Amino acid sequence: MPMSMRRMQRNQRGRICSVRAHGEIGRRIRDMGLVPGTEFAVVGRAP
Amino acid sequence: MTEVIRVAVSGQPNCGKSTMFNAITGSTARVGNYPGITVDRLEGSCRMGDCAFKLVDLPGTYSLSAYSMEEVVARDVIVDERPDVAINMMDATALERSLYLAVQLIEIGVPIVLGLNMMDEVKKKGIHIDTEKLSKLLKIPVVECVARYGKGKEQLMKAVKALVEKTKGKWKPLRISYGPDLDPAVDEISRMIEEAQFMTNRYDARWLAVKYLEKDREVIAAGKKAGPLGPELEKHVDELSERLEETKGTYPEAIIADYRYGFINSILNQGVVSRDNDLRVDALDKADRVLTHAFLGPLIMLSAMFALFYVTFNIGAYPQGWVEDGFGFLADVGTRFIPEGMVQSLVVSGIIEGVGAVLSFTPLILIMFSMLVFLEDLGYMARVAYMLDRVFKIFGLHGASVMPLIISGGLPGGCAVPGVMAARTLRSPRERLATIFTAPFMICGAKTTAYVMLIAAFFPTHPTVAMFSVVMAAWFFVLVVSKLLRSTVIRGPSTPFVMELPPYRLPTVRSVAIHTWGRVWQYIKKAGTVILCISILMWVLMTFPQLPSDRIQQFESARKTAKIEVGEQAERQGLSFATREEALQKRFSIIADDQGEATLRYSAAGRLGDALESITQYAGFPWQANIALIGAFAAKEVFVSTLSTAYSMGDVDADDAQSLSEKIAADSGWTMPGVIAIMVFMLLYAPCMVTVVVMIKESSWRWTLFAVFGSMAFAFIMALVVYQVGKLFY
Repeated sequence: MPMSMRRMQRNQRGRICSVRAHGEIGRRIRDMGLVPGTEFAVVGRAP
Repeated sequence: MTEVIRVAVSGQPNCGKSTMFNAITGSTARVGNYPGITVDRLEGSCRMGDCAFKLVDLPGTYSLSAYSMEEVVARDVIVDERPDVAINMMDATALERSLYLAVQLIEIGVPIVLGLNMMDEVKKKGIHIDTEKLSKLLKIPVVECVARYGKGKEQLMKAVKALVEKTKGKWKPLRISYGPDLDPAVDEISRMIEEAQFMTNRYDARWLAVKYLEKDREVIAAGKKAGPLGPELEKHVDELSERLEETKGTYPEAIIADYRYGFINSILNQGVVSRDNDLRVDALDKADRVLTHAFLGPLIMLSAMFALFYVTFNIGAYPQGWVEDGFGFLADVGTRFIPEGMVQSLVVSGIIEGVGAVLSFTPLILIMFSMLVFLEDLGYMARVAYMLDRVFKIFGLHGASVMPLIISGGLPGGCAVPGVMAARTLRSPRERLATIFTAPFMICGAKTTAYVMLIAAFFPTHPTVAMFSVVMAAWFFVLVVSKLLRSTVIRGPSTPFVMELPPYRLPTVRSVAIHTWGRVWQYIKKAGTVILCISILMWVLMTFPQLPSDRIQQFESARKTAKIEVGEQAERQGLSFATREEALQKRFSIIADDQGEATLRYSAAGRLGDALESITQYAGFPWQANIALIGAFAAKEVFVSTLSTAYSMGDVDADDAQSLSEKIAADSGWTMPGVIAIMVFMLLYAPCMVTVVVMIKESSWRWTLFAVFGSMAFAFIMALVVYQVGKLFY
């Protein structure tokens, strides 16, 4: 059930389906290794 | 025969590249400059047997796109300077992500040696890496390292030497498949480039083709200038991109990135890496849960900052006193050995006072910076940026603005010079300009001297509260002005905060020392050069033109009169010799003050102050303050030293600053609303001269002029408002 990462809460895990961001932000995200297929967990949200 | 092998050292941020660079080059490392760009160029050398190596430390970047200056610089060094070998340092605990940069270097074709760093942490995490297999699959030498302890540096250099002998200067770019959608386009475009020999003197044809598909800004810009094929290729790519967007909902740059990662994973999946658990979780990550907690996080942050403040000022006071005493001693020597007159005045009042006041701050700066550098190397400052980002965004700033702002004096006693330089880390121009504009509002060490003096004069009963209010006011204005700027002059969306939180790492004494010294040295250089010149200039402006002889005569006759009058009074009242002398000295001292004031008023600086008073009176500034503020434009420390000269005193020493405070408090020209207005003005008006120079370098002439005049206007308006409102209450 695809959703935007922004909506996720702490301790939720997921797998990236697609990266829609264009331009520099997309680049930055990809450079960090967040590409389709990568599994990740949300460890915190800034206060 | 000795050959010199040229090596470029690359790596992603936080991978230990600089640590290894320092381990290899030792004390030969020097910092230089890339012309026209604000990125440092670190070079060094080393020897192994009869072999000499020259090394360049490339800026740390996650990839080699054209989105940031660092990436462009790193790429250009490889492409244009054609080093014999590149060493790519990698964080072995994040192999997949680290290989992303490595793969791009291999695509350019430079002979490369991979340094797998942080192998000690790899073992600790229970990860196993088959280095030999990795090397075989990539066809590249791989060396295991632990840069912190210098482990692996000889093997690296040996591998470099062997590679040079093997490749003999030939570059072999790696060719990766980018999938059925793009491979035909890559072939087609590289064919077109080869035929037209389009920029092939600099780049490999296929590499160029891929860059065009990635819409690489640098390559496209170069292509436009190189010939008609440039724009033609752009069009070709645009058409292809549109088609892809329609049919597959994606675009070439994304596909290329995906396929690069695919290539990396295809290698890693062949038994190169095996680990206990998939996701990177540290014991220290649990620490983050507390440190970035919604409630505890900010609390801990504020306490940490307060502790910094406290330690700096209380412990720093001792060495500060020593430096001041040292200069006081020099001043005495000057007074004793140089015959009285112009030269003595110039040397003692102009040079020794001026420069001494500034250098006495060096211990404070040293202490504060070393603590900030410690926190930064520890990794804590990244968490601070993360926590503050959301709040800062409301005002148009960025989480990464926090370092430049704190360095500039977010806690009193910083310096805007390294602060503005630290703004380089901000990737978006908009937030960067806003940070550069507002950083000088912060309370740098120089301003602190002025505030301490003024607070001692006018708020002697509540100094801490007063100082705290000034700090709060500074932050308030920074945020508000930033918001103003970002809603008007530099409008635009904010940069998303995408940053890797570095793992917590205990900083080594050596790294803290090197970083701190770098920043402190900038500060000392400023004192030695600009402030020295300005002190001399100010002294000249305050001494010439001198009082004409008839005015001096008036004071002489006043002295004679005083002597006679006191003599008569002593006789009438039968006063002792001591009492008579005392009374006489009192009279003389008043005359001396008057003469001093008149002399100053007559000088160039004084007349300027007077002239400005017609405007500044609306903000409640006495004319002496005007002179001090003008001088302070050069360097804010000059504010206090100018005032002390204006009130005819000698030293500015902690004790004497008190007496200066007393004198000013007694002068009715300074009213309470006026004082507050001056404090507001001093907070906000133009950055000091040295900061201006740095601002020009870091942004542009235009922005800096805007910052100087804009902040001056803003400062005056604020001061005016404060004064007029204040008058109603006082």
